[in-house]
Parts: sequence; C-alpha cells; structure tokens
Amino acid sequence: MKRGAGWLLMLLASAVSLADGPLKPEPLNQHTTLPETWPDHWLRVHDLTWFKFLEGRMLVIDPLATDVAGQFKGSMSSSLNGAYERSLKRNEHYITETFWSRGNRGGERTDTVTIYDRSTLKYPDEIIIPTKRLSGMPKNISTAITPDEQFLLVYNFTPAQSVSVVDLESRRYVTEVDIGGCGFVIATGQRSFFSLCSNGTLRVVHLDDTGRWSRTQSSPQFFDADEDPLFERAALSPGKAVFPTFQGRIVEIDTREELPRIMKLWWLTTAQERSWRPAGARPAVADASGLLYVLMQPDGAEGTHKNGGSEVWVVDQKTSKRLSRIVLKSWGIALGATGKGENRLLVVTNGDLDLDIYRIPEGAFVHTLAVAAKRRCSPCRPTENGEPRTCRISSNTAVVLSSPWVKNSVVPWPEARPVEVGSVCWVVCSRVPQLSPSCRSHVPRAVSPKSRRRPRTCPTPVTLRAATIGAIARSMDFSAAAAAALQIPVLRGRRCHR
Amino acid sequence: MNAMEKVTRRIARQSSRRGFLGKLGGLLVGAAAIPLLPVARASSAGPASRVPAQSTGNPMDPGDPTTCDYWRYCGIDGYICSCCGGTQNQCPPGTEMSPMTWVGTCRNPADGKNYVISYNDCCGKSGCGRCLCNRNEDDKPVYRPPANNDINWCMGGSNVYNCSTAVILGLADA
Repeated sequence: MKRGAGWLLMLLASAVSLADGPLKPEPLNQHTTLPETWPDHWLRVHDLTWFKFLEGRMLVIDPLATDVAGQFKGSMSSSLNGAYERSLKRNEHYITETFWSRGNRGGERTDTVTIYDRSTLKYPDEIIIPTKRLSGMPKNISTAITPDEQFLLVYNFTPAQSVSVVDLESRRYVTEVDIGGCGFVIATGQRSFFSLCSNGTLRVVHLDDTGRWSRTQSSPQFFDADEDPLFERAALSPGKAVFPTFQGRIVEIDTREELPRIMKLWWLTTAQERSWRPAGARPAVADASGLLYVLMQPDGAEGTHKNGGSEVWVVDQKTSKRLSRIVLKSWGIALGATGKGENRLLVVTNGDLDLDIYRIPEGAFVHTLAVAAKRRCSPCRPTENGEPRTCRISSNTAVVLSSPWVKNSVVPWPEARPVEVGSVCWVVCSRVPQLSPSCRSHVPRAVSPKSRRRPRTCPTPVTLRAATIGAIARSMDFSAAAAAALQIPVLRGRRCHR
Repeated sequence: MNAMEKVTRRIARQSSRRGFLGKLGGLLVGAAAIPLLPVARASSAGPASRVPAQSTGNPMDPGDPTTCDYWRYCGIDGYICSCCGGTQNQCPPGTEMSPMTWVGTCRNPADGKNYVISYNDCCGKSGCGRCLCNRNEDDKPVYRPPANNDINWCMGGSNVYNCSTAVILGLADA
C-alpha cells in the first residue's frame, strides 16, 4: 500500500513538472550590477594574490551576509599591488596599478590610474602616469585623494622619492613633486599633503588650484625613525591621521588645515605593559564614531612589528584612554573598520588570511569570511562524471595525484588543507624545494583497499603565515585589509610515514 | 617531531594562547621566520623539515641556506634564491641582480661577529614561489629605504621580482 502511494506521488509530481513545461531559453549577455549607493558596512578588500602579483584584485564584500553568494559582490582588477581610492562625488573608484608588456618577464612598464564605475564596476577610462609608483608591499598611504576629490596623489619610489599629481576631473596627469628624504602621502587641508621623513619630521607640500607645486614646509623633528619609528600605515578618518609607533606610542595629527598639526604623542601602554606593542600589516584603524582600534602583540621586541597580535585595544582618542581589550578569536595580522552607528564592524585579517568579523565597540565575534583567492576545495573529491580530480601535492614541485584512492577518499588527510587553483586541487605537503621522499610516499601506488587507507601519520599543511605579513594588502577607506591568496603556502609537516 | 616542534607544542599546551601556538608550531617548523617565541627561535637550530640538511660547506658560515633561520636571513623578505636555482649570494640562471637593495646587520653564530648583509633581489623572471622567508630584524619603514624590506628592489632594469640573496658586504663593527 505504501509503495503504491509512493508511485502515485511520483506520478503527480511528474505531472506538475510536465505541466510547467521545459525550461525556457535565457537571454545572453546579462550582468549583475551594484547599487549606486552601497550599504555603509560593505567592504573593499584587497586580495593581493601573493603568488600572482599581476593578478591582484579589489573585492567588494558584504561582511554580514551569511552565504557566499551574498558576501561576494564583485571585484576590480589590481595589477601588481594596486592602490585604491574612491570619489563619492563622481561615484568612481581609482586603482593605481602597474602593467608589463611582457607580463611575468617584464618588458615595457606602464603605470595607470584605472577608473571604475561604482555601480557596474566597468572601467570606462584610465590615466597614464609616470612609471614610478612604489613597487612593494601595499600601504594605505601610498596614494591619497584630496578632500575635494579634485586630485589623486601617488607616492613614487625609484628610489628617488616624489609624488605624482593627477587631476581626476580632467582625467589627466598634472605634475611630479619632489619629496626627497620623505615617503608617502597623506592629504591635509584642501590642496596640501604631507609625508613622513627619515629625519623624524613631516614634509608638507602645498599645491595650487591647478595641482602644481606651490610651496614646501617642514615640521620640527618629533620622532626618531630608528629608535621608535611611526608605522607607515595610518588610521585615517576625516580630519585626522593617527600613527602607532613600533614601541607603542600613538601620534595624532590634525589634517583639517593646510598645515597639519601634531596634536598628541602618548603611550598606549603603561610602564608595566611595555611588552605589549602594536604590530601587523595594518595595526590601527578608526571607526565611524572616532574610536581607535590597535592590534597588539603581547611579546613585542625588535623585528616583531609585522607579526600581528592577539588582542585589539579600543581607545578613546578624546581622552587618550584605553576603553577595553578585545581578545581575538584568532591571531590577527591586519585591521579594518566599517559601518556606522549601531552597525559598526571590526574586520580582522587572521593568520589564515580569512576575515574575522566583530561587532564594535563591544567586540562580539560574528563570523569568519573566506574571500581571498585561496579557496579551500573539498578534499579532492571526484568530479561529477566520476573521474578523479587532478590533485597535486607539495608546495611547488607538483606530483600529479589522480587515482581512485583520492576518488574514494572522503577526506584523504583530515588535517590537510587543500586549496583550489582553477580546477586543480592542491594539497600542500611541503615547503621544501622538491617533494621529499617521505611526502612522496603518500602518493598511492596501487589501487587497492589497502592503498586507500589513510597514512598512519600525515603531513599537516599549514597556511602560510609568513606570507601573512608580506602578503597583506592595504585596505581601503573603511574597509578591511585582507591578504593574498595563499595558493602555495609554506609548510612542513610532521614526518610522514607510509 | 623535531625538537622545535616539541618545544612549541609544549608551550602551546601550557599557554592561554593554545590555539594560536598550536598552529604556529607548523609554521615555525616550516618557515622559522617569525620570531614570535624566543624559545622557538633558540630551538630552531635542528633540521626544520624533511629536506636533507644543506650546508655552505664552510664551518665559518654555518647553517642551511635553504631555510629561513639561516643566520644571514635576519632581515630578508622574499623567496630564498638558494631554493630557486641560485645560492645565498648568487642569482639563479637568467636573472639579473638588482644594483640597489636594502641592508641588514646579522650576527654570525660561528664567530659571534656582526656582518652587514646586502639583500639583493634577483629580477627578470616571475616570482620563484619557493621558500618564502620574512624576518624583520632591524627592519624600518619605507621612509627609511635602505633599511626596509617591503620594497621591490627590482627597478631600473628587469623589474620582475624572482628571489632574494643575502650577500656579505663586510663586518659591521670593522
């Protein structure tokens, strides 16, 4: 009786399906677009793609969406560690990037300011600029936009240091301004910028209304670039730039006037807390309410300033007091802040190069986003047609592993962390230059039930935290910093036996 | 499990930062780059991977140039050329050595002396991708260029970065 009822239900279901008819043809050349006005909490994330610098990109991410499709809104290309700025007035994004005519073996270099439409993310235009922009790890002060959004400023390093001025209204390069002995650009007033100098001063350059050099001023020395340098990553907010120092002081600079004013220089830590130091690829951010968040490491020492930290200290800039300490769920290496009002979020790039989201100022953990191009594939599952997926083991020297052993293994190595590159599933097995014999022993040689057994001890691939530091990108305005893809991480593991 | 991993795991078990340190063990064993734990650094003298240990062949220049904890690499940031067809002081075939660079000061454990090390990049081929190493002893911000390791020094000639060397320029205290 039950079987008969089941058949009846199936027939009815088929009838309903047939009544709807086959699926209709769908139009081609359709594209999604983004809203003209983005929600305040959306992020612009720089995915540096560490092992493929020429394929970097800026991601648009909704950090509160709970599904992957909702989180990933779109992307813009960002070749060779591009730098991001935006104009709300013109509804445009600007990415300063570098191209090579012969790709990965060089050739003629071209630097551009690529303009992206905010809604379509198409690039309607580009501005060619001198091939001098800083090539290196991204910093959030390697470019700046004047508050009236008229001029884009690009820090050059050849190693002569200068600034390229670009008129965004007319979309043309204007001029180059020398800042020898100093680096980076932070906009101040309406037509000025300042740079950090190796002699512990600020160099202030004033531009005229056409964007050309007008005059230069220097501040008195107020820091020691050797003993306790300012990080070259600033917490920027309207009218203010805040720099932590390597040892743990905070420097606040008022940027509302043409001549920036050094407001405060104070210790973030007490005398008993000096081992706690700011650290990371972007160690400080300010939220929309003006609170400052500083990534802190407990065991600070010489050479640890890029390591990241285990806590974020919340600071009231008005009183220069620490309000609270957020103990991070995972070790953090870069900070970003987004949102307004009650919907403020702290975004922490963690050691796995994923993004941990916290509500601030209370510090309640929300969830973790994996948005960089280091997607972990399901552990080497077979393809839909039953064929084994091509898998490669080892960090660099690939050994093709395509066997029923993989096909039939739900989790070849429970601790393994495969990463998907195109259609290939990489299982990082070793950081060494060549595949080690012990690692090679994991490659099954025979298709038999015995060979499908999980090795007694397996390698423990670990995502590349060293790249962490280098790989992190700059983050943008109210955005998170994220790091690069870690397609071929460093690694090593326990000795693996057969 | 080598000595370093044992130490790291023991600390991880005893520490309130268990989660991080437990994972860190794998990293430090492999990269041995980030001196988060002085004890881990101190214990990293042994072989750090399954790779047969390599040597310069000179007892006055101790260590394995393919590992991040080789003494000359105290300020390096990049792919180690010894893993890429070159050596600790020579670029791989077909690449060019950058004429400009950053320098660091590293202590040679063999004689206890400080040496000035020039971290010349090798340029003209795509990134090697092997043996990434990032250590930041004496590293300063980019606005102190000669002491910064974030800059791509492949500039002027072949501009594409391949790997980094660590060339002895001389005694720091001479």
